[in-house]
Amino acid sequence: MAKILTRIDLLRGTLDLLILRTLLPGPSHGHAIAKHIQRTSEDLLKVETGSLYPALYRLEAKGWIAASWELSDKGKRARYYRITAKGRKQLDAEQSKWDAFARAMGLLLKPGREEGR
Amino acid sequence: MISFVRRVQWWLQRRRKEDELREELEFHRSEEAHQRRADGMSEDEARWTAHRDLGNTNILHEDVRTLWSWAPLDQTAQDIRYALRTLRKSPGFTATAVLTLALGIGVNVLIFSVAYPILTTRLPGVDSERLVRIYESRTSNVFYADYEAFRDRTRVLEGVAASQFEGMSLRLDDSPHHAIGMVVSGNYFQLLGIEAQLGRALLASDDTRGAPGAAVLSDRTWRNRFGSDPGVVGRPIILNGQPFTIVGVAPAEFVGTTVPVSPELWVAWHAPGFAPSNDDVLRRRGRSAQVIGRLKPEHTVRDAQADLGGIAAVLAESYPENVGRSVSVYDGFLVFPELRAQALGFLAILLMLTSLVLVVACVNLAGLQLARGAARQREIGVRLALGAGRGRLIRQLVAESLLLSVLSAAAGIACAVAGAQLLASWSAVLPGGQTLTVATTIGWDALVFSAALVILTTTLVGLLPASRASRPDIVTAIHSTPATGPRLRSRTFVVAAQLSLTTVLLVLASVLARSLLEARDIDPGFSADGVLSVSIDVSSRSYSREQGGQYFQELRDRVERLPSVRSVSLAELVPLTLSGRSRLVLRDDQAIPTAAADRESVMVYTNNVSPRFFATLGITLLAGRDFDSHDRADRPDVAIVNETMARRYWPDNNPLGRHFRMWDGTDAVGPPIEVIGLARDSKYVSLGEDQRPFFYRPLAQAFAPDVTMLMTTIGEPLGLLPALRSELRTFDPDLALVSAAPLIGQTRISLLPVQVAASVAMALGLVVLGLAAIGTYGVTAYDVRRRTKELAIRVALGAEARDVVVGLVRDRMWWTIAALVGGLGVGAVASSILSTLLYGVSSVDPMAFAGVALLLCGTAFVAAWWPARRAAYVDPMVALRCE
Repeated sequence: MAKILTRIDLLRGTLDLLILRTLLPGPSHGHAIAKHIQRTSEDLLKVETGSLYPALYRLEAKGWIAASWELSDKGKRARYYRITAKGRKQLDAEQSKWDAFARAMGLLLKPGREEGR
Repeated sequence: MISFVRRVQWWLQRRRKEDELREELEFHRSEEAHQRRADGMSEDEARWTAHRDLGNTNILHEDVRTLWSWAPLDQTAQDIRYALRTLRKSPGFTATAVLTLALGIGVNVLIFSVAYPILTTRLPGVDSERLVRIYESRTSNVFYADYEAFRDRTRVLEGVAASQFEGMSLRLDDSPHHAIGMVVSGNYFQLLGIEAQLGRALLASDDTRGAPGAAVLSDRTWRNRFGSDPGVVGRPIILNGQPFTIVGVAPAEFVGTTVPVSPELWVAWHAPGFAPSNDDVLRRRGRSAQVIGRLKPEHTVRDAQADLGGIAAVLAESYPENVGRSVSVYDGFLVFPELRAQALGFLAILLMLTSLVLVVACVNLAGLQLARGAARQREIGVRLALGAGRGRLIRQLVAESLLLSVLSAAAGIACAVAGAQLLASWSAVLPGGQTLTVATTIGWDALVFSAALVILTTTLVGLLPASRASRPDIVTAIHSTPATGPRLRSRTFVVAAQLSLTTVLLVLASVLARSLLEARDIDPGFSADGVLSVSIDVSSRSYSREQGGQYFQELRDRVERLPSVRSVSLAELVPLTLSGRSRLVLRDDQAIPTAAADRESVMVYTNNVSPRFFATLGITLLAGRDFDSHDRADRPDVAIVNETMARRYWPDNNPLGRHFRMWDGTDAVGPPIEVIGLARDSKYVSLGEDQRPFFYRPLAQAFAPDVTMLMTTIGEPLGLLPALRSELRTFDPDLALVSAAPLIGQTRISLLPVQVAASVAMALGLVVLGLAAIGTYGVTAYDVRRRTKELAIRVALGAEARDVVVGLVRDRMWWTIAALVGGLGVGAVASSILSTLLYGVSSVDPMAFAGVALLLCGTAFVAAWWPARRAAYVDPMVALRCE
């Protein structure tokens, strides 16, 4: 069952990280970003529009992504987002923070040799 | 962190961003619907689930909106829009408020724009903060030898320069012009740091005896007299008969250091024809100059004062004539210190008056705002009840006042600019040939000043009524009607005070105006009609008495031969141009008075004139004869006295043949002077003067080099000029005319102070009258509003509409009369202070007072009747029902 993450559950920072990572290969519009996250996480994470778009605009305000209106593959006008140089730097920083966090969590949650059990 | 720039950008684009977000969400929805269709859902279900998938778009919009909205800006924009709407809804109030404030602000900005440059403009040149002026014995004239001493011995100033005005005769292509030039020390331009725009400025090398004559032109002279000729450098000219070369043109903005008179050209102090003699006595006591200096970097004006004071003390020890000469050092402002003080004093009084006007305007407006606030109690009560914060409410009310103030400031600046144009178009020609104008530019400092005024007026006008209005007891407020508003007695008081102020100003204006009218009827005792007045100056030739007398005689003979000249004469002083000279005169057998008080009684005014003076001006000689060619320097001294002098000195006898002597005030008395003629009394210095004793001396015996030629002409006086000029050119190619004008224009100069005072008082008076009228209107209108119900009941019960109106107006008029009486009293006192300017008009002139009373009552009546009228024609049923 897909875990639907509302804004309450998903920390803001992690959504930002996901968006930046999604945009790393190339630009996309909002809908495509949401679908990509859902697919790549094998349906475990589904981002609500109510949290996605505020996050996108926030990232744009901070200058980590840039937006422009382009024509979609179906010929309709859509707002495409792409990562900026600043965003790339931010992505690196956040990614290493997340890695460190995940490693720390992993170390703590896995039963240690000293603890026994 | 969102950068500030982006924040502002997005705020400016907020409307577009809302639309974009909507479009984006729409796109998202349609993509989602597409996908579900592709997954197999029906069209309807796909659309519906996609729509549901979007979630609550309103909350989404709100979340995103925080990124581009900016609460303070948004609220302020909202406040201003609301204020605009409110002001537009009551155009009458807005118009009167803006007009009121605009007048107050405009008048202040104008006076400020005139005063500010006088206060702050320093001497021209580089690094002008270090420039100073040096005065001796409290005048700008420093004796040349003392200037040299200061220059050579100072340790605090890095340079000292001298300058002095000289009327010069400039001969250009064989036609002579009178030029106002300046002789300066060689370092003058370097000290100031002024560089020529063409050629070069004067150098120290020009200021040595024997150096070739070099002249620097002013920009205006270069344009007017030399047609902006780019090749003017190197051109030869003749100055006072000596050959000079033009070596440069001064920059356009350089107006010299002796404002308001600016020289047409500069030559060196020791230039040929100008060099002061080597006679030491003359230099200690004769020639003087205006002196400026530049402080060394580490020194101040105080240091310079101490330093030069020390030098002056040493000089006083070595030279007796230096005893008692003080030296003062002043900050180097462009305007001379004493002129500056006078101008500032006058402007300070004006500024006080205009500030008063502004305060009156603000008080008026505050009263209006209070009244409006009272009328809006209901609306404000409801808003407060609905949850509006008090601070927000005050902000909104203040926004209204701020908007009003900004509009008024803009209108006020427009008024000030218009006023400046008016002022600039006024000019008066001074006896020396210069034109006096008040040229003001409304510059940036004026804008800053008016911004300050705007803030001030907002605070005065807006805050108090706003805070009062937003503090009501909500329940009472909601139930309030116009009838329950306060009576605002204080406002009535204020309006009455304004009416009084108006009365005072108008009384002054009308008394002065009447005085001007009377002045036209005063018999000056001579006739200026058809007389041409031409000033000439031969000081540069240093004629002796004999030479001078001879020269003038020939001049008169030549001019008299011209066909359109009826008679010609010369005079040192022109009557009624506010110039006069007095001497101490003792009868032949009179002892030297011992008491100082007796000096006054032997002071007699005098003028030096040529033969035919009396005939030219139409002054009757009652007895004896006019001066003639026999009254020369080598003959016994003679004089002609007027009736008053004859009565004072020889009360019972015929003055002819009697003698008097001139006394120098100590113990020396001059040679006896015989009275050979008796002239009718006339006015000498100003039209308003009392009869004074007067005597005339012949120019041949009391030579003065700068005189005025007075000629009666056949036909229009100015029409004589071309013929006169060509005749004079053949007579003396170097004689230049200082000025030429009909005499009638010059004698009006003595009326100038009265004209100015009358105009100012009238202008201010009318402004305050307008304000008072607005105030009266406002008070009456508010009263009517408050009492609509009561008045409607009266009418319903059978009162005549007319009675109601009369009642309202009568209330107002009682106040007006009280104010009028008070104002007339103060006005009488004020005008008695000005009595020196009044010609034959008493300071309680009944016609003036009556006129003012009429104007005031009339205006107040109309201002009260207009709104009162409306009250009477209200349908009682409508009035009783509407709350």
